[in-house]
Amino acid sequence: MRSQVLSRAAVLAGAVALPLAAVLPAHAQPAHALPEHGVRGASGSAYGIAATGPVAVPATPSVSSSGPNTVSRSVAELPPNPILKARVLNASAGKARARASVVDLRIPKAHLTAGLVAAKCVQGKGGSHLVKVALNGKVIKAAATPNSAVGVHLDGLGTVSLVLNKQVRDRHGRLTVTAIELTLPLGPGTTETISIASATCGAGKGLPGGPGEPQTPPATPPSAPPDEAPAPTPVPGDLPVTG
Amino acid sequence: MAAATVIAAAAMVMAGCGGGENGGTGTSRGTGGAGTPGDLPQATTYATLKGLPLDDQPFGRADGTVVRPKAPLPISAQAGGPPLATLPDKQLGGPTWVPVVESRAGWSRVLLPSRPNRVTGWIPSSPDKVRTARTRHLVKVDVSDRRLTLLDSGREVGSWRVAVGDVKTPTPIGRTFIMASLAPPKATYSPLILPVGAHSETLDTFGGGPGTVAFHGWPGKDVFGKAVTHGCVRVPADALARLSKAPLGTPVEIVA
Repeated sequence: MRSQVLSRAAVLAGAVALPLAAVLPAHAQPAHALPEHGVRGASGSAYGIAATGPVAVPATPSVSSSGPNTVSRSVAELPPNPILKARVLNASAGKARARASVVDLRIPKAHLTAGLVAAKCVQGKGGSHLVKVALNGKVIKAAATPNSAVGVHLDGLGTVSLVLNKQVRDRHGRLTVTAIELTLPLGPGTTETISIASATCGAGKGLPGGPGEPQTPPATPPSAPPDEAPAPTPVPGDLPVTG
Repeated sequence: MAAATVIAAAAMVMAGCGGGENGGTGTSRGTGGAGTPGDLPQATTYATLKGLPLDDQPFGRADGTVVRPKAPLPISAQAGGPPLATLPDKQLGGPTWVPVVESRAGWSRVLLPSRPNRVTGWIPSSPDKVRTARTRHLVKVDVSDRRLTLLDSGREVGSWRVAVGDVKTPTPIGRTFIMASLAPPKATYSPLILPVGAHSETLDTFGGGPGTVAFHGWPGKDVFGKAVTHGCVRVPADALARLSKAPLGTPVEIVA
C-alpha cells in the first residue's frame, strides 16, 4: 500500500477507482461484535462504518498501521444491507494518527441523513466533524463536545439515540473517537448499534519509532491489580427469602 | 410480575421487615426507554428489568472481579447504549457489589440482583465511577448432590451437605452472586441471611418478599441433604460462618 495522506478530494477519486470487492477488509470483525480496533501494536486504526445487532455490517473499510506509512482505503458503497447507505467511505491510519469519514450517509429507519461524518485522532487527541447531519429533520451541530448524547422518539420505532464525538480511552492510553454512535430499537429487546467514522490512535511519543512495533505509552498509569474485596459487614435487617 | 413485585414490596414495608431500602422501585420498563435517571427502574432484588441482556454464559466462570458503584450508575443493554435502569449504590442497606462477566474499554458487564434471573447490564467502569476489587472466593452449589462447596483461590475451604429447593420450588440454576449480608433483628431460623442475585422461578413472591433466594442457617440438622426448601439453600452453621466471610459480589455457581 502506498504511503499517503489523502485529502478529501483524493478520497473521492480513490473511491471511484477502487471496486468494492478489492477493498473489503481482510480482517473484518466477527458480525456479533463491534470492531475492537486499536489492537496492541497497531499505532493507528480506523473504519468508516460498522454495525452490530440484527443487521451486522463489518467494519468497512477498515485499516490499521503500526509502521511509518499511512495506510488508506476507500470504498464507494457498503456491503449489501437493508438499513444503511453511504456513497463514499474512507479510513486511513498511520503511526499515532488515524482518520475516517463517511459521505452522503442515509439511515432511513432512524431518519438520519448526513453529508459528511468524520473523525480524526492524532497523537492521542481527537475530535469529530459533522456536515449537514439531521436526525428526524433536526439539524445536528457540526462540532459536538465529546460524548454528547442526543435522543429522539420516533413513532412506531421507539427512542433512537446518538452519541456524538464519542471518545473512549483504553487502558493503554489509546483514544478511540467515533463521530456518531447510533442505537436504534429494532423490536422487543433488540437494538442495532451503528458506529460511523471511527479513528483510534495512541500518543506515540518518546518511543522506538521503527517500523517494527512502536508501543504507545499509556496516557494514564497502568492500573494496579485490583484490591481484595472486603469481607461484608452484616447489616441489621431482614428480607423474607425463599426459606 | 411487576405488579406482584410492587405489592410484595409494599407488604415488606407494612411488615416492617425491609432491609433498610425502599423496595418499591421495582417497576418494569419497555425496551428502548431513555428516561431520566430519576424515572428509570432501580436494579434491586425487588425489580423486574426489561430490555437488558441475559447472561449468555450462565455456567461460565467469572474471574472474580467485582465492582462497587460510588454513586447510582446508569445500566445499558450494551456498552455506551442508552440507560434502561439504574444500579443503586446500596442493596438492602449495604453496599452494592456486583461481579463483572465481560469488559470493554471503559465499560463492565455485570450480573444484576433483579429479575429475570441471569439479567445483566453494562455500567461505566472508570475509577471515578466504580471501585474495582477482586474476590478470591467462589461458591458452588450442586442441587442434585445437595452440596455446597466454598473455594478460596481455587482451593476448597469446605464442602457441606445442604438443603435445596423441592421439586415444586426448585433452587434456580445458573451463576449469580452474594448480594447482601443481613443480620435479622429476630433470628428465628438463622443469625445471618445471605441473599443472592437469583429469584425463585416458580414463586413471584414469598412471605411478603420478592422471592429472593438466599443462603441461611436452619435450627435442625435433619434438613441437610434434602430437597425441602422453597428455593433457598439452608446450610450448616459452620458453612454459614465461612460463607459470611466471602465478599459481596462473590460468584455463586448453581448447577443441576
